[in-house]
Amino acid sequence: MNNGTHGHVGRAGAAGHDNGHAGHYMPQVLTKTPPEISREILAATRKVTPRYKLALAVTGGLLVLGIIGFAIRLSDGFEKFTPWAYTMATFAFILATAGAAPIVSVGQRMIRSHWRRPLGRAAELFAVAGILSTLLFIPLLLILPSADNRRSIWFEFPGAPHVYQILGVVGLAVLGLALLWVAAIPDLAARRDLDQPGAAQRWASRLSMNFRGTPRQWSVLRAGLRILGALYFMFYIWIVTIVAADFAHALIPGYKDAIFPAHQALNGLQCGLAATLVAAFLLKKFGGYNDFLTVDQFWSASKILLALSLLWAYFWASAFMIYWYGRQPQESVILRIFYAESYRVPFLISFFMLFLVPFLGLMWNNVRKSILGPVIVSCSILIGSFFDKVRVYVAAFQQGDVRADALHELHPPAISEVTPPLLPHAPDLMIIAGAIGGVIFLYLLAAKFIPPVSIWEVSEGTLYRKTVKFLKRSIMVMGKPE
Amino acid sequence: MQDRAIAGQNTQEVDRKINQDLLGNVLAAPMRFWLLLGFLALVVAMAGGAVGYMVNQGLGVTGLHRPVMWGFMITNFVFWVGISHAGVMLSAILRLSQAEWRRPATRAAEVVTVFALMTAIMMPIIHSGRPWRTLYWAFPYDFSRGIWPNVRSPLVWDPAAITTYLTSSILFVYVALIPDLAVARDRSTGIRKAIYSVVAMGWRGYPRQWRLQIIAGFLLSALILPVFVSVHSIVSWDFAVAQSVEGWHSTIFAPYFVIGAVLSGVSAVVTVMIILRYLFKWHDYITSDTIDSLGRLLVVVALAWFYFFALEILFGLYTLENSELALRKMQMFEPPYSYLFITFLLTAFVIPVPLWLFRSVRRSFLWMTITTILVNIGMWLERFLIIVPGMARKGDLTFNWSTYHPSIIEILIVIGTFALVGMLILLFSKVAPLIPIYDVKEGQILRDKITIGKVDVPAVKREE
Repeated sequence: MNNGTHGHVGRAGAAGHDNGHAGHYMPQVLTKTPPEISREILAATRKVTPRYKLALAVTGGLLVLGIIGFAIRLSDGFEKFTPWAYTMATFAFILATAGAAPIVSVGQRMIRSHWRRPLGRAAELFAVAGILSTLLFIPLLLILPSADNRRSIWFEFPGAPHVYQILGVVGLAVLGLALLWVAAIPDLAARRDLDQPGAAQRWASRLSMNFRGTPRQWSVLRAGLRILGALYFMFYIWIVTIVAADFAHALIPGYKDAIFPAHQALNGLQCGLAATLVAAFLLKKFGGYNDFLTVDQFWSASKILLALSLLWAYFWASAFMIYWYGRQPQESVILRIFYAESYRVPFLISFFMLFLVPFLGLMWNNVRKSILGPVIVSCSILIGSFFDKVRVYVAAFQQGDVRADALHELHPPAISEVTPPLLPHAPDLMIIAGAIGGVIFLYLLAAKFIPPVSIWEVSEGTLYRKTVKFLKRSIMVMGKPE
Repeated sequence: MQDRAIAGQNTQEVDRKINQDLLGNVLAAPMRFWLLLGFLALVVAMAGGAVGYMVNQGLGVTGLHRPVMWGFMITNFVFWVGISHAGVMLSAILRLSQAEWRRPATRAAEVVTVFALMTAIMMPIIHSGRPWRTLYWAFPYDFSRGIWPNVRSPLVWDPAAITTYLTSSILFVYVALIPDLAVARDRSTGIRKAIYSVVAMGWRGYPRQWRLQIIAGFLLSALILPVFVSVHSIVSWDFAVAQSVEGWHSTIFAPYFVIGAVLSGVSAVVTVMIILRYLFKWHDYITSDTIDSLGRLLVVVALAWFYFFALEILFGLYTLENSELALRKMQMFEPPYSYLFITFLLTAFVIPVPLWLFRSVRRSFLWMTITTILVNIGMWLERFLIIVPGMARKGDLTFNWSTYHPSIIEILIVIGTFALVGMLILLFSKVAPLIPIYDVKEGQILRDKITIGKVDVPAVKREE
């Protein structure tokens, strides 16, 4: 196992951007052979370090804490929205981060970018959090009244909203796990063939479905990934749209913001990428995948992160502009609740961390072309997003109780009062810590069974890259398969 | 995916062939070019006559009347502003993302942008009925009488945004054009050579000149992006900030308009490129691969557009307000709007997008021509259905309600704008190549292949 920075990661050209040609940067070329790649990634996957055990213990402890908090909240029953407000914000945050992360892999695989190869699995592994978010979602669903005789996007559609909400959340979790599994089949086959006999090897053997790498198996695998990827993306957009509409928008009488679900979906893509970059950084730093996760992944991903952050601000401005300009009575009250008075602090934090930090940081190529820069920005995005979910969903759940009448009328009077902010209590804090800790806990467990860096995609990537002499320089040639 | 290799024994021979093919129309246009130009000029002249008649007789010759005071011409304004979004989408964004297949498509997209914007600007001026009065905004006649435009109105932001976009788009085209103008200079004589010499700004292809040109291209690509987004956002706010018209006051309008603009703009570029391919016999440059890539891009853009469209409808109905429901009912179920709505939905999404999912359709010039034209028919109707039905129901009292029938004058003007854009593109092609020569040559140099087993995979040399 090579732990150096340039041991097996060669640079095409004399020495990359340090070779005297100002501004001439070469993507790093992995010079390992596929068997070496398999061996090294599997070795890192199997290795259980004391640091890993500590992380597992801490996050497991947080998960237990969260379960206790959840049990306390269960004693509050499902009559009122307010006790569950922070649980809702936490669920929305997990949906935005862990739920959206696999899309990073899906999207980049669809456009056949090469830089994503070592990063894709780190994103797909977040699908394991689907189990946790489904469990978290059940009590939230119990509070939600039926769509009968009230304003909702369902217009009294039979079974709405409960049936479609649970189908969406469970469907997303199942699709995410299916995507992770199908994408990991060749790597599980590698574990089957290269691991010592044991429980992990036996499970890998079962789950690898007798994969031998025949042309037909590869063709079926790729088709499966395409279909699952497209379904996952569509499901994600669908579920974020209906969650945002039912659990926030419909609870505030007089609130009409058509861009709101799209804004939430976009924030999900932003958070999914941010979470993936943070995970990749930790895998690089502590997981033993230093040679595979290079600056190329962080640099390329940070460009997309910058674009998503700019889009986030644009969507926000598009909504804010109309309300600010319209100044209808209910619009003024909503502005005061969401931005100016009740939830001013979460708004300012989210605006700063979701837009200003990414924009002012990632606009500089030196920051983008580094590992730490995109990771710091990603952390900022994750924190900002959590506060954004608090601002939106806690405020909405609060209105669910303050204006309970609106949930039983087709034409309720619009919101007219500004309510004070709702602060979290101890069980809320326990649930927040437990849910976030639980996601990391599940991720850590999964990363010891499924290699968090895809062996087959990294190996394939080495075939599509070569260096050639061009005039006086060595430059990279990248294959672009049809 | 990348463009096809141009046949030739060596680099010099390939260069010569590219120059000959792409400069052919600039140096000696074929007869069909003049015939088409003549036909388009005739249509433009008819539209010009219609404008003259309207100015002479007044706005009474149009179908505009209370409460529908925005009709065909404002619809057409929004449509052409939308088409102008093709240039930045295809040129700036694809340049920044280093998509190889962009090379033959960029110039046409940029030129469509410029001419579509010029045409768009004309529409509100003509619509005013007294075009010269719009000058009052520029010259302080009204100011001296204490009449100032309301700077808080998007109607005032519009000219600022559009002229900024037009200026930057012209600059964008020009910077990318300089190396090709130098090629034209070196192959022309007389007065043409003198003119090309001036506009080529002494270009000799020195390393420093190339470096500056590339940096300028990248900077302009990045700087034009916010302008690109702001233009159609502001156009959407012309409607969305108005509370008096049902269906307009929606937060989604800005991104919905922008994504719709990209859909119609990219579709228009595909149509234009296929027409140019047949007109100038650019079969080696505008290939099935180029159209296929644009088709894939269109699938993504169309799906995103449909998501916004669905949200716009869904949240419009969500409030269950009687006035909103009545408007949507009229738009979707009451003739003649219902016919237009069905046509719009079929042509903008239901027919083309499923077809684009098939590779054979994306690679077929005939199918792509048909589907992209359908999209623009649909997108034109979409703008009409946003503007007119809402205004027809503007008043609170039913006796204030009305409908709108365009007059022949307005129809002629709208047709004339299509001919005008086509004519301007053709005229441009007589002055400069509509496929960037240097970009295509660079693509040829950078193309490569990687052999994996027995298969040759297309590849590209990449210098970050």
